[in-house]
Amino acid sequence: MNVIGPHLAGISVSLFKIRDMQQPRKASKLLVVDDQPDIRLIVSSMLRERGWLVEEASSGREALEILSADDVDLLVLDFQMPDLTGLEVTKKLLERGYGKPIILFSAYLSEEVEREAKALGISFLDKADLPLLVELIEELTG
Amino acid sequence: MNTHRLDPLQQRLAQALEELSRIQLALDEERLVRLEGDFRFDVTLASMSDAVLIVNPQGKITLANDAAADLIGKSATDLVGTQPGLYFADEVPVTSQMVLKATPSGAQTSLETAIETARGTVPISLSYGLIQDPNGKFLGAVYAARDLSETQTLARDLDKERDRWRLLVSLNDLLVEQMDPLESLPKVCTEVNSATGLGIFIFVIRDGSVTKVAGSDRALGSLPRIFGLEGKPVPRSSTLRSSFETGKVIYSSELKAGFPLFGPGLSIESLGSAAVIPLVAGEYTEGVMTLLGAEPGSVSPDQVSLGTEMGRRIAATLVNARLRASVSQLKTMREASRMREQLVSSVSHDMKTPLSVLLGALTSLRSSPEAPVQDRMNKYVAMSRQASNLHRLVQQFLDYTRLESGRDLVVRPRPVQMVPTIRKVVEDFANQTTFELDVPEDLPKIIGDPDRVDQILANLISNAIKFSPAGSPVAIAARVEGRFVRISVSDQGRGMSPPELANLFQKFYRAPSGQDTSGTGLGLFMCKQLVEAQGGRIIPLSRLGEGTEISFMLPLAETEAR
Repeated sequence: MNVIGPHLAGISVSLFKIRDMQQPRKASKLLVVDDQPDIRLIVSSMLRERGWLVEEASSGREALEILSADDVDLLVLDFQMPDLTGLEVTKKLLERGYGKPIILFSAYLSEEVEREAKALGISFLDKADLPLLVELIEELTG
Repeated sequence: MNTHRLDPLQQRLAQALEELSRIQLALDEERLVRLEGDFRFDVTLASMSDAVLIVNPQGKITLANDAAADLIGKSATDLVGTQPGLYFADEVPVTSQMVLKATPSGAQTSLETAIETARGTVPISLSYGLIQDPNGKFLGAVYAARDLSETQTLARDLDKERDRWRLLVSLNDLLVEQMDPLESLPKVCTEVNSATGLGIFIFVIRDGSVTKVAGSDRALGSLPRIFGLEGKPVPRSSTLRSSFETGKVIYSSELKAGFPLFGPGLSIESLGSAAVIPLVAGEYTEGVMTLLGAEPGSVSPDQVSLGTEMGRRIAATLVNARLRASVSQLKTMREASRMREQLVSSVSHDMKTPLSVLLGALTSLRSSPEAPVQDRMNKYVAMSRQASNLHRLVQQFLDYTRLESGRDLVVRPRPVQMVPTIRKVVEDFANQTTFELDVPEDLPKIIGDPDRVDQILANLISNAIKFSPAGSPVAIAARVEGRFVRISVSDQGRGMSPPELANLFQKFYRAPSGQDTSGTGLGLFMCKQLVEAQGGRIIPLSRLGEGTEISFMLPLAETEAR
């Protein structure tokens, strides 16, 4: 039984895996950070419809607070916010050892910002390309 | 011969002969010395460049050297026997007594005087003195004269050069006195006129027209007509045009009356001499200058060359000023261009947020048709809000572009009930802040353009939100004040200092404390333009630490006025 048990467990795990692939992705937890309420509304809505769990924050500080208490699988982060910019938030998180993917989601992507994002090892997406966000998240959460 | 055999007579004869031959020898020697002296004297006299005359005690010339003959224009032999008074000026003593009187110490005297010669009066430097023998007996007087004409010519030339130089230096000073050299030209003309006595006109020519006429003259007429050339094309068949186009000096020292200097209809009657000099600096010809003299020959070649030199300097100054103006114009244009680019960039960025929401919402609505009604309604509201937002952004940008190209805003004020407009804007911002409304439902009609009032309120509210602490409400009030309605938007933010208040409505003004560089910086500027375009006034009030209230007044509709 000890010999068979693990094998049985392995088989059942694979079966679960097969079943999972036919359903929408397993519920990853996402955090959407933007000072504009309508952006939060639409983005969260889009992501929830894909089956993800979505939490919202309206500022960089709020986001940092949430992330110090909780874990998320991916962060959708606005760049231009009144208190801290998206890049500043990223730097603080990386200092804390944050290792999950971050998408800088912005209307103000300049060459400089893109360069810095690449240097920090995070992804970026222009706000006008919102319809592509879901795809990008799927890629990053594997 | 045997001396003791000579008788005394013979002895005496022999002695006498010896004596005679000794004397003869001595005489010969003396004569030789004298001859030598004479010879040397003659040679010296002949080789002297100064004219030498020797006059005897009777006052007649006894000797004249070659130089004297050349100077006076008569042969040496013709001069001998004549009286020096014929040639020397009255001030020169010509008899021994006069010379004695003039040279009491016996020394020589010199003076500058003149001598009459075959070619006229010649200036000379004259030295004279008495000739006396060792016993003090007067043997006559000697005069040595040096021709000063060349020296005087040189001195005159030097003076002329110096005057020319002075004129050019003062010209330089005048040209750099003003920022705009065109303003110095009248003074330049006055200066040249005083210095040379010639009439002068300067014509600055650009693109075939005379852009400026400066001139100075007291002798010639027709001045107003010449100044009338300013602003007109360069006259067709005129020397002005020829000189300007060819870059050559046109000079006539003796003009015929009626010469078309300034063109067919503009001849000057009493013009005797003129030069037209192009103002050239390198490859640039900036205009022409005319020098005018009433008498034939009054404009000399020297003056033409001086004029050419002046022309060069005037042209160089004009070119420099022009180039400097171009450079600064270029800088201004570049700066304006930069600001425009920044504005376009800013607006593009601002438009992405509404676009994003619209695209996202549409994608979402299409992919989830079965989503709950409330979800869908929320999306429609968001889309409507963002569509308004986008509309405002585009409208503001277009308005600004209109203003920048010097046109007026298109505004259609009419009697309108503004409460629905106010409500709509408040709704659009309801998800960004809380509001305190003090807007009576029965607010009388005002004369205004509701689309523009919408824009104004949206800008004011957006600003209030930016500067309000999180959670603090934005207050909107509307009330009648006399013949106007005052609509105000207030926040409880940090407030502003008087200098900030003063600059509030400037283009691109940003609050000093804000690190928020989003937005175009034009919101409040446009508010003022829009309010004033509707005939209203905008009034900002603020105190540091106490918040800000910005209100605008629009007139009550006629029928509502009490």
